[in-house]
Amino acid sequence: MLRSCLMLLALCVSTLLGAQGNFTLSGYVRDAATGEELIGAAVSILNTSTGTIANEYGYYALSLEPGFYTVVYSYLGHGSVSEAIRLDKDITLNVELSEQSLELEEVTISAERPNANVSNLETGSTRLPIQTIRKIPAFLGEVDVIKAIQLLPGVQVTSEGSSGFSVRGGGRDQNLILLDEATVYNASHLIGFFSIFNNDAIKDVKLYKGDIPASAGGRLASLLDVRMKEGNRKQFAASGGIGTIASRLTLEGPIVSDKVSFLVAARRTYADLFLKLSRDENINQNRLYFIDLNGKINYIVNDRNRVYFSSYYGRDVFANDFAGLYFGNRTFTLRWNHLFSQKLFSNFTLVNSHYFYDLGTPEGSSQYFNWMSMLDDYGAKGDFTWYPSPEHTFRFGAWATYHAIKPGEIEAEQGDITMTSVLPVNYSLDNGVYFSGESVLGEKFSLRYGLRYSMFHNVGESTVYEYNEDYQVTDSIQYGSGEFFNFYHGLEPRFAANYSFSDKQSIKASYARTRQYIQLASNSSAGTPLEIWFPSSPNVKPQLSDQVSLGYFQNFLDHALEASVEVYYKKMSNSIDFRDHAQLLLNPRLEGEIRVGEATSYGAELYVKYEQEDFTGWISYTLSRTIRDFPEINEGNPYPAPYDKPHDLALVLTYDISPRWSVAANWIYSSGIPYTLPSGRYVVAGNILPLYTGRNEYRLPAYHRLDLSVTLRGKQKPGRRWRGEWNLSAYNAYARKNIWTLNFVQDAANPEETYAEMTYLFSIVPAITYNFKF
Amino acid sequence: MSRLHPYRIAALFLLAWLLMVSCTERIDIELDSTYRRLVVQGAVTSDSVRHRVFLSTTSDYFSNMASPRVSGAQVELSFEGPEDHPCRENPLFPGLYETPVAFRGEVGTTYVLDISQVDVDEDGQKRGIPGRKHHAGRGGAG
Repeated sequence: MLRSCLMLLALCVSTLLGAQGNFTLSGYVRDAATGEELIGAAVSILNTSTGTIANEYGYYALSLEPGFYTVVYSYLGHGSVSEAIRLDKDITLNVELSEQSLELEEVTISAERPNANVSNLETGSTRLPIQTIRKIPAFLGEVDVIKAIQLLPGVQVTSEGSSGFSVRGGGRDQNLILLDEATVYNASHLIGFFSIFNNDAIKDVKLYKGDIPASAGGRLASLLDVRMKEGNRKQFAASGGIGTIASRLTLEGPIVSDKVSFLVAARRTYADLFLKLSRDENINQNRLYFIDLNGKINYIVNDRNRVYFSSYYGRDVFANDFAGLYFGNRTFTLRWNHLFSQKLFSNFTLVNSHYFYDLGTPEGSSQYFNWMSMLDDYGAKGDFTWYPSPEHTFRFGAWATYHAIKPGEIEAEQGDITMTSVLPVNYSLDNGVYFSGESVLGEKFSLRYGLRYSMFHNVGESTVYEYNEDYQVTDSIQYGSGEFFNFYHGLEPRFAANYSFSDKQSIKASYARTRQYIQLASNSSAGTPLEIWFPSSPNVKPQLSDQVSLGYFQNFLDHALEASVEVYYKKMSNSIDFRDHAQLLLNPRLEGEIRVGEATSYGAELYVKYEQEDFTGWISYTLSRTIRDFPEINEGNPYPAPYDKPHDLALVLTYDISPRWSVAANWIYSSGIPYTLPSGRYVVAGNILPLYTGRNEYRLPAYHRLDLSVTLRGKQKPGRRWRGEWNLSAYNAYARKNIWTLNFVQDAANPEETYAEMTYLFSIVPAITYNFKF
Repeated sequence: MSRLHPYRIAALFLLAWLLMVSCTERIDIELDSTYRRLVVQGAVTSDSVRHRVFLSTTSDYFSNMASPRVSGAQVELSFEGPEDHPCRENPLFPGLYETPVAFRGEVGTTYVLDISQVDVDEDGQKRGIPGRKHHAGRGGAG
């Protein structure tokens, strides 16, 4: 029934668009060596401006008038393939592209470089192929997706070594991080020094910082779309690494050739093995590690149907004989791609995301306690892409996600007395529909327009407190299990336009409204695992952001040099901050700690990237300000947002000296973060107390750091599949002491005297890693 | 439970890990000055003692000296009832004002502290701060 309805709709609109009589060329673009679909591969008709881009599943479709065409398929780091076709009926053409280093003779390398950055409609978005990410010097040799993202313009690191990031002035919790479409609530291991993404299992990473597609939402600032590899469809393969802090192993291969493939990946750190070397019992008894497991199976049922199942499991363990802290994420994604016709691609997804932390003493200990917190998302989504003609692509769909947040369950035992206390649980449902379209209007002008309608319900069982103007609880209302008791909804329009002066020059503009219904209770920039997400409620209105951006894009040197300047202005309302000395953990009346106001962010981002076969480098520079204006904070005076860093510069260079040797370097400079420091002091009962006069009114000294790495690859011999490489890296190569926190200490010898003491995390950190694949 | 508060344990864990990787160092930073504010420290207790009020001012954070005392003020402690307790400045310890006789504070009584003749900002004009009422709850702090 659904199918016939959709076909009918398709037929009606195609009549309207006058696309009758056209035939469709469609198929998948894949990597020749592994059979992995290539997300974002370009498909273009030679000597015309007609073309398309393979979607997140590697699928493309072009509807053209009957005739003879030469179709060029290209993808970064891969040789292009040209196919001559005669289009007199619908054609399915699956194309495989080879990596340049494995060039095959029949592959023709197109002289043209892709100019996707100029011609596409996206402002403020960057795709980072995993191959590029692997070349960047990595902290302790652990290649990290999020650390690479932090080197892009408009993205600020929230604190040294952290996996948290701020996009265009947004908070850490305003980034939607998706791993195979499942939300990742805490992307950090070990307080953020590593992200949860094991690079061996990752295929593609794309960050949207302004113009988030209408199909995604729920966060104000950005979308980080991370896609796991599908698993090698051609042959069994293994890859891995042995590093200073962690080891990795990934196995992948076909179960049924060209039909079913799998991937399993594991990573574990072994910092605790070093701890055992310590003679101090307090240290050598510690268990300290994290583990990541990724798994994926995908099954090509037939030309029209494919099924994917993927899962991630991660856990951090921080324990000794007396107490332990455990936390981690778990995700499940089940997807079904279905082609209703060559022009109508669909994807149906079921997801579950889970995050938990558990802190406590072992059972049976004399002072037993256990504190457990968890959240679960259960979601379903249907997404349709319709390719009526090369000029128009439409996408529409619907989603529903049920959130269950348990902020804390505490159990304590002292002698015979057992205490349990449970913080109120939050249930909520968010759902909605969206539609977007991309239209090419003539040779030079293209448009994207989208509309997302999101709805949010709070669901019982719940207790809602009523607060007076002093944030004292005056009353509470009890809602029964399953009762829907509060409703927010709204439209989120998205709009983008591209005017290309030539294939080397374009100007783009975009507008996006985003709404956020679930946020993090946190007033630290570093982030701890003990974080609490809380939903909108009768007391907490949804956050809203309106952003406009304008960009100029130009390529030089036959597209080898890409340059862009983008400016943006973002207004956020119903923004959330917390009162001074807020109590965020284990507080059933958390909503009483919230203060609401507005925030504004504006800036200019410069990005220059040069890419040649043996050399890749980029400069990203951001000049921006983010100011918060809350009537009840800082005496009503505007103050800088926690991640307001006016200057932020990253310089990344990677160079292959020879087929065996490569070097890489990056240098980062940013203004110090805003900080609240005392302007005076007073003494009470012999203690020197700080007198604060304004929130975030000071700024720490500037942050800068140089990282270096050298890679030596093993000799390649014909017939040998084993490929190994040594990677030597130095993080913070000139040992800059960057301030992590600042404390004030009362001098023990002279109590009248206080001095400032900074904590810095790292001096120079060298590391060695051996990576292999076969 | 009070000794092993979960939050504290978590903080200890994080701290332990950070201590292994981090270093501390004394640094010089420049802090702004702000106008002087009067600092009043005093308590009414249920002990039968001469009650004391100590007046000082705020100072620059890195002034690294004893906080400036406020001398020559008029301080009066009163409560619901007939008796007022004008305090006298201790001649040996400027800034310390004491009730002339010992008395005992009572739970449930409202005490008012009046301070006048104070020139905190040193502009030559002496000002007072209006008496603020403090209700002594159980535990007796005021």
